[in-house]
Amino acid sequence: MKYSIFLIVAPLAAAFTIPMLGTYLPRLSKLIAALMLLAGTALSAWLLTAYKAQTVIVIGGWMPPFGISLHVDLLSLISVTAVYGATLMATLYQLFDGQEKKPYFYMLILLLTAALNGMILTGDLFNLFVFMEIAGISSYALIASGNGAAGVRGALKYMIVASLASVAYLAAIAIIYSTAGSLNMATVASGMRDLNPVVGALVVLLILASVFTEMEIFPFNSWVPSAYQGAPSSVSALLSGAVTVAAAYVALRMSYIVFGQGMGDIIRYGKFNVTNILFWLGVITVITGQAAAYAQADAKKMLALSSVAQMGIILFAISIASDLAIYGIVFAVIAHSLSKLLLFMVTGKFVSASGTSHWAKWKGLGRENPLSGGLFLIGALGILGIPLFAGFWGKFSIIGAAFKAPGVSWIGVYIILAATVVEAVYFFRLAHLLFEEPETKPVSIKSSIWFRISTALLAAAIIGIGVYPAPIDKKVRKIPTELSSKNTEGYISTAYRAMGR
Amino acid sequence: MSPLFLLLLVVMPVGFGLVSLALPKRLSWFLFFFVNILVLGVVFKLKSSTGLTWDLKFNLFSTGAVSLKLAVTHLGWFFLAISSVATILFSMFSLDFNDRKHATFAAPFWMILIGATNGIFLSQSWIAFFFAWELMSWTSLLIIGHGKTPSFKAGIYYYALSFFGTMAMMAGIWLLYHRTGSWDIATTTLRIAADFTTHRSFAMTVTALFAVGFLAKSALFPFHMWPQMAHAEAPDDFSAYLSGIMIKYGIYGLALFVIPVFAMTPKGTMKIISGVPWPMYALAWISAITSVIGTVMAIFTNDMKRLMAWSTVANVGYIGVALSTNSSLGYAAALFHTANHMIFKGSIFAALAAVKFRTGEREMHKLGGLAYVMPITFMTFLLGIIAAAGIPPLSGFNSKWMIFQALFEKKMVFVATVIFFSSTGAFLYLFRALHTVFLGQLSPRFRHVKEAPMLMSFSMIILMILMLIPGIFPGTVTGFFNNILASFGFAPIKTTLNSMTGSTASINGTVIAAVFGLAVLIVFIMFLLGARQHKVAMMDNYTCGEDPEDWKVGPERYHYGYDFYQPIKPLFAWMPLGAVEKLYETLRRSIERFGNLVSSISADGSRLGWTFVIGILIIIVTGVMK
Repeated sequence: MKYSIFLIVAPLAAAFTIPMLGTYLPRLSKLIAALMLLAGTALSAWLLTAYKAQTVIVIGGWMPPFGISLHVDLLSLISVTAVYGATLMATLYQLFDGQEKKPYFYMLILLLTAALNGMILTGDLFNLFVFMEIAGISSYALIASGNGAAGVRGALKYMIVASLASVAYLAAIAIIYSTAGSLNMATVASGMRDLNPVVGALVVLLILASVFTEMEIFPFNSWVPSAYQGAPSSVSALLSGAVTVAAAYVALRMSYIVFGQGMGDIIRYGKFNVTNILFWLGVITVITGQAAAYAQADAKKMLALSSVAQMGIILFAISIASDLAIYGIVFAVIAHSLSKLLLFMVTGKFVSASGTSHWAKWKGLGRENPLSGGLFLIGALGILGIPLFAGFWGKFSIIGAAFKAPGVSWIGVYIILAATVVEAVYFFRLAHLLFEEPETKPVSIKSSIWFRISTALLAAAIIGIGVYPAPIDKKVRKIPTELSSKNTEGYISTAYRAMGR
Repeated sequence: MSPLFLLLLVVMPVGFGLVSLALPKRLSWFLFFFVNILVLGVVFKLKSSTGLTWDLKFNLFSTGAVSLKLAVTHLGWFFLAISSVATILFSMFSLDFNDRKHATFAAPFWMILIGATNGIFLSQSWIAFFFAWELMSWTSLLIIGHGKTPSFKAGIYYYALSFFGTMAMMAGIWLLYHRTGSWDIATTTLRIAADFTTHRSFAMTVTALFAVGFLAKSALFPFHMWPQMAHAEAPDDFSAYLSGIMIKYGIYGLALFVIPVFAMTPKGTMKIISGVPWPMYALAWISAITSVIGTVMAIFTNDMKRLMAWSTVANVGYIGVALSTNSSLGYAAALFHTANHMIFKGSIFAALAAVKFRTGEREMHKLGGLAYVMPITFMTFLLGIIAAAGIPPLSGFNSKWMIFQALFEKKMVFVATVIFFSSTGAFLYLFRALHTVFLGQLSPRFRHVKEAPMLMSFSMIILMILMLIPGIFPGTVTGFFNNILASFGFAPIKTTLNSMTGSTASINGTVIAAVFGLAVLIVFIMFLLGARQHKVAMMDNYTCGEDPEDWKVGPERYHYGYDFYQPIKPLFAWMPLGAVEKLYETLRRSIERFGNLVSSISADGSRLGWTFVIGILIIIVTGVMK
């Protein structure tokens, strides 16, 4: 587990070599980026298979709560693996099938990867802020790198909202530090209970606002459509396949560990009920996301809004906070990441072949290119949660968890189920349109061998998880114990043990 | 018998389907026919192996074992048998239908669909059932769409309603599981029936959720409008399958879960109306309304496929009414009519597909007189509508007779009256279709039309035989019912090979057939002895010396079939037909408008800061909300 630090440091180091190398040896620098991501994927996968118990890694000999520590547990390793895998896929896609980019593009991707992994692994609130900022800044630049004006517009929108979010977050940690005297997550968790309820509520409010901005929760997601549309397809895939994974992870950790003391123990601050917020914002996000995606004429915006809706479902599941809900979250996040990567990669091909991202003009593209059309269909089925495809297990267990939970969460279930019908309509509408008889002969798509290999892998993973979920299930089984506070293997106990308390 | 045969019934067609995605179209249609032969063989091998079970349990979630259980039950085997017999005929039909000109890429998906159908009829765990159900839904959507824009519009309407029902079912499955700790269909049915005494509102919710799923799939009110779009726009050979078999999934679901639940509910736990628990009485009216809507709409429809789709809706209404009587006679009548409808509506759609295959027309007033050039198709259609209208000696008569007997037994006179109305209305639209398409004058355009190709004709001939047999010997079908009835705790019905006993009387199919045969013979002799005929050409019409071209009226408007029932239309003007469709359209449009509204928030950069502020307000409101 001590190698976990390399998951963050290595891409960061590699990123710094690129400006130096890139001027003289641009090809080598691109190779370095790709190899780095490949190595990172391998390392995180290896750590995942070798995983025994959660550990706290102290950096530089400064013991927490004063120094910064990394907290490696099963959920964070799974998330890191997903982030690495998604970044690798998106980078390969950009390298072999996208427009030619300068080496700096790949530097930004490496920076983003390092930041996302840092967000996931860190056990410190200020450290999290730093990584969120790095992730934000590198994504603005990545978004702006594509499609001229549209890219800049998207990046600006993201930057405006994300800046507000980071101000809110900074204010929150200032309050926490002045009262709790520490920014270590486990320490803060026990300190939050003693806060004045009004101050506690303020902290929760500010932190949630910033986390929701990253996680694309309504109405903090006003940047999403333009950013996804303006960004190059590989970056859209990255936003949807990697950034959301990290954001969902942060939201989960904040809700369970910082605001409460372990899963199922989200506390109330006076009259301020955090569970309620997560629940209702999740539901509202699903409704608005699906409806907006249904009305959307632009394919990339449509996929972006579908991501929004998926994040809404995940937030809803976080609010349920039961074992079954955690299964659902992990499966849903993985399935969403895989399917959206596939969808954005294929969509990127359609956009570049047809010259437009208005899906109505794509009639018959799938007839001419049955492989791409079929892949789009598989991706859509994966997102929709149709049985035998990856998304099913996530959606199925989230719904089961909501019915099992006490209180009113069943209302949310019915709303989500109804919204899923809308989702099915807009996904099948586009998937079928690709196979409709066109008026003019559609263009054929040229794709590199890498595109075929990576999309085939993604499709195989989507179907594989759908048909045989056991390997992931076996891993996921331990996560609820690790997140809970009531037992010695829990997050907070582990953190305290590392501090020697 | 090895239990793996059960798995084979599901996996084999799906596997062949996936393989044939990569094969040329024509070859995949041959494979399709071949798969159906295999399926039929396996199904009949399973005939006497009721109780044979294949189960796959795997641990998933913290909830424990998830089981994918397939088993042969009496009910499931009956549905499997009738559907696989019908399917093999439809697939033989498709073999010739999908020639170079007409071939669609539907065959691979259709094979997957057949695997899913077998899965639905074999599943004994809700998870397996749900898997098969969803697999069936989206593959059928792709077949209905078949790459045509209008077809897909119809298909997505069907899919949206059906998916809505599926989602309701998913909720129901989880509620059942949390209450009983079991995914098993039989176990949960028993438990939920018992829950009506202790946890009434819970049991009602679960049953209602499942009922929504099944009603949506069977096109019962308020989901009655999708067949007229989907059945009409689907590939012509698929319409037979869609209308014959796919509409019965919901009926199967009702017969499998909802009806047994109410049959097993202890007496005195629920308000009884007209001898049935009140939800069943509600189902009776839902079905009756469905059949009236189906009938009235069919009367005023000019598109022949659409007309027959409405007729299917009406027939599903009859089946629903029969089921709602909650008695062994009603249950048996529903099964009987399901089997008969599968064959007769299948043959009607097959005949229409043959007509469309040769003429390319769907609007009835453009056709006419095809009996002269397509006699086998005509005979198939004729027998089909005789069966549909419930005239002896064809199969439809016996099952409709049984439905009425079941209604009389429960003294549901008002429902019976409504059903009688739609049953009579059926004559109006069925014989109009026969007359307009096959009788009357042959348009000069179609003088050189040939009879349907050999395999199509051959499968239609077998379909005709299959319509006659249950009419003359009802026992060939009803003989299977007593085992099914016993498995749900219903009393047996009295039936022999050629007779059936209802609540007020009994009939002998063979005698009736003999009488009818004699009558037909006498009429035929009279016809031969009668006056000579005078044939009139289609364009030989009396127009009072005016030239119709002056009013821009073309020859097809001379056709007497055009808007045939215009005179009685005002009689039905008071009916709020199409109200549900309008409601759905309003809903759809509001979703779209709402979506546009949401998108417009983010369209303007100057609003971004405000969205953040609003977001913080929403967090505060939801935080302090109770």
